[in-house]
Amino acid sequence: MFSAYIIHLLILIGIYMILSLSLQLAMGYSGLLNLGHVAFYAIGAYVSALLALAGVPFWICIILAGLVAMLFGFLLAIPTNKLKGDYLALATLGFTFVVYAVTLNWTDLTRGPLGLPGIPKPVLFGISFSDNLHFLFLTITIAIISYLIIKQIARSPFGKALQAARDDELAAEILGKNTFKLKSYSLAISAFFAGIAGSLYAHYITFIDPSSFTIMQLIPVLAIVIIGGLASLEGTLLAAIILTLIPEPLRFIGFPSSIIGPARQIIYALILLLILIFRPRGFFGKVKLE
Amino acid sequence: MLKLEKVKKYFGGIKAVDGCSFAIAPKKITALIGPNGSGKTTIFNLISGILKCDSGRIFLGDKNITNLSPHKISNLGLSRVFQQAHLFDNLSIEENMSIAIDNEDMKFVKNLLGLNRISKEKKQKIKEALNKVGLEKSPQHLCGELSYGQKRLVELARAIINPHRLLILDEPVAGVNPKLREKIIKILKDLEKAGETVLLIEHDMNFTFSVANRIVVMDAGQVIAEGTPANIKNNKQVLEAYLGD
Ligand SMILES: Nc1ncnc2c1ncn2[C@@H]1O[C@H](COP(=O)(O)OP(=O)(O)OP(=O)(O)O)[C@@H](O)[C@H]1O
Ligand SMILES: [Mg+2]
Repeated sequence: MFSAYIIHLLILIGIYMILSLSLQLAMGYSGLLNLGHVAFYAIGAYVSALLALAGVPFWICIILAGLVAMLFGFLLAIPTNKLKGDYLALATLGFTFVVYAVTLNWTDLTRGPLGLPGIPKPVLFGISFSDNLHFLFLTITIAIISYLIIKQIARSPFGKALQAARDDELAAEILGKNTFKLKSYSLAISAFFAGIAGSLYAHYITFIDPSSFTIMQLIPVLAIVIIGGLASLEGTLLAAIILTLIPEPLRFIGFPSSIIGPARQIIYALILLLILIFRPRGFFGKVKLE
Repeated sequence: MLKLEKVKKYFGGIKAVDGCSFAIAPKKITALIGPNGSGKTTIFNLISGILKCDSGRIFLGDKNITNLSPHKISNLGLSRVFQQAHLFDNLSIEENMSIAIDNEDMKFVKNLLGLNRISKEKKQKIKEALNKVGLEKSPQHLCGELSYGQKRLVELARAIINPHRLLILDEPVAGVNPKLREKIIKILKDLEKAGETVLLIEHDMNFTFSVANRIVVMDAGQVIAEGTPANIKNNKQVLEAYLGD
């Protein structure tokens, strides 16, 4: 019983790691204040769930979940090209609301508030991941691969160009860098991994509805990125573990789950506030928040 | 090398650049001078594509670069140093320089597969460029931690290593100490010897006359004189523009 609970927590940590590492690419390395990450997560979850329910094999579902989210990343990059800082934040926030509204109202496809039940557990190469321990291995494997890919991108010259455009967009342009291309790639890759995380979530819980993808879902991810420290992948991994675990003791103190939900958000918001005041670079942050 | 034809840029009622035409010759150092607010930096912004011309045309070599985006103009052979510091503060000196060398870093798949490390040749090239400007700092040093003078030198080195046909410098010695100033004068003279084409903005007349072969004088958004330093020194209109301030 207890170990089942631990496995559950570890799976959540893995999913949060993928989500926050990918947000780190857009925010920490590229300086894009992207508040649309939950929308990409939702797109991945719905794409994967709908395909799986139509009988498509899991590996195709999860890859398409990433690719469709990525496509939306590219699309979102177009209008936000000229937008900087706060405006980009507003535009991407708006995107989150639009996606939420679509999942809620396009009932023919998403069944709206009724949600999509019965999403099958993954089967890969004949191996079933319906057992949670197996699912944990799958999640950890994908989290590690995501980490390695994002790490490789971040330290490659392409990643350095992203960071250059973050530090000084004008100078990057003057040196011949197409900063629009840089930013849209960053947003799209970031969206790809969010889509993958969404797919994992859908196949783990086996039920999704719009309430899993409200703007409130962004708070823990944002908190992980900022507390881990902008442009620090290791800090992000650590923060994903700590922030997932912190609210858990509430359960044992005997709070009802109706209070634990909101209490989590309050705790995250408080931690975020404290970090911003006392340690604006997070655990290992290399760049300061502006 | 560079040609401006009746270039115009107004900001509301301010006629920042008001029908400017001039051309600069290859392998020479040309200075663009004029009182504060006469439109010099605006001209640079128009040349480099950061601002769009209201009207007029700009050519780099035989290429019409009017209103292209800055990165395209850069890749057609323009390199620029700004009036204020524009380094990538969270990157090292070496990374700042490496970004300028070529656009290999924009090839996403190659970078993803790890085929695009900073090569030995590039590192050597960077070292040489830093030696050329005489910067005594480890290439691994973060640019955000450099002093003002060191930043100026890295920017100069970065602009030099950025492939170009024309180098434009906005007040390269403004605010630097006399020693560094001498150093920069020497760097510019070396560039000229190496056959570089340079257009620079400068307030200081002594500096200008000591490095420039040709001078273009602006006042209130217009070119009021053009010629050799000797011509300009004795030009009445120029003296008025400066003394009449
Ligand atoms: N982005 C802008 N918006 C509005 N006005 C501007 C802008 N940029 C420049 N100006 C105005 O245009 C005029 C020319 O400015 P510019 O910066 O080109 O002068 P400058 O010759 O470089 O002066 P300085 O020697 O002080 O650097 C000034 O009156 C300035 O206030
Ligand atoms: Mg100026």
